[in-house]
Amino acid sequence: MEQIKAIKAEEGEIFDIELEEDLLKKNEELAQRNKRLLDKYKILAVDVMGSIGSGKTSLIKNLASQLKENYRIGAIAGDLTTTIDADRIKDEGVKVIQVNTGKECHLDANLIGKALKKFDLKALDILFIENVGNLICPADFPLGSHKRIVVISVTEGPWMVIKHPYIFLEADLVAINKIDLTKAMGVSPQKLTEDIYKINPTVKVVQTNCVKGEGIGEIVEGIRIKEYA
Amino acid sequence: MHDISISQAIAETVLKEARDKKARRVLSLKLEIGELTFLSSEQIRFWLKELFKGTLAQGVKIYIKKILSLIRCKSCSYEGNMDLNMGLGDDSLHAYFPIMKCPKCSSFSLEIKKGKECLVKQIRIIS
Repeated sequence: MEQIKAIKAEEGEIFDIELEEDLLKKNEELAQRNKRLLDKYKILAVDVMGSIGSGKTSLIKNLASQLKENYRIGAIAGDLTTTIDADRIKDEGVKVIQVNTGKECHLDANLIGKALKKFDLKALDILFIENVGNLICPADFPLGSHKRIVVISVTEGPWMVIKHPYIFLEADLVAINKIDLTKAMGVSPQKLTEDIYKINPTVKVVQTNCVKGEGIGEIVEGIRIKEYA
Repeated sequence: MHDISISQAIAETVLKEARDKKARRVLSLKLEIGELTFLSSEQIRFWLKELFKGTLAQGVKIYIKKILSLIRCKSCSYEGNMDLNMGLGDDSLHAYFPIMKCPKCSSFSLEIKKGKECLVKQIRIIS
């Protein structure tokens, strides 16, 4: 005789678990932890954000080249998959840790925390953090840096600021890069500057040409590196 | 936006908790998302459904509560909502992101008290 399989009622009980876990706040807490660690070793951390190809790496290279005589410099280079940026910055004799985010569109405080463990923090004065090329997502993920620089370039067209206002809100300095191409592009740096001030009236705006190193001194002044490091 | 990475973080949090509590299934999930995060509940719902496929939380009921903004102006002490339609005053651009200024005195010096949450509030499981 065929055996009849009894259907068993689903056992167990239903219950609710209160989690109250804020995922964005978790990033903020980790960012605060990074900042405390950096402060302990008196390191100035500068987060460099901007869209793809705006000149973030060139800017860091230029800053490193100008500052390396007087300060010990490190860099964290965030990229989706390659080490191209890290290699370029390394050429300046800077200690670089590469963070590959895979498919992520931004660096987060957890990744920075891990990268910090790979540095000899006693041997650093200034740390540049190159974020993933993106004007949208990094704005929501503080890393624990002391200063935030946004790099835009005239080749991105006239609407770059107005279309992505969020990232400029918490910036300390905005570099308008590739200023030598202004004429060819027909883009007005003055208009871009006005747009930036509408969003963030207290931010410092500097025009740069990272190929020739123009405006780099103004950035060093602008983020008051000397007062910190 | 980064709705997918946030969704992944939510999914990991939920599944870890469910495993820790030896759940057989997750029945429902309550989230609270602040309007100043600019996360799209529609996208989060979509990604969570995808991410939960083949897991303990497949088919989970997802409830998302929107948390309205609450700001305090450091200049005039205004406390209340932010007007999210307050753009750059240029109709040719529908400014999706509001300018963070006080609706009363236009100061930019604000403290955000509510609206930036991304909270996994509660899960209901069957053991």
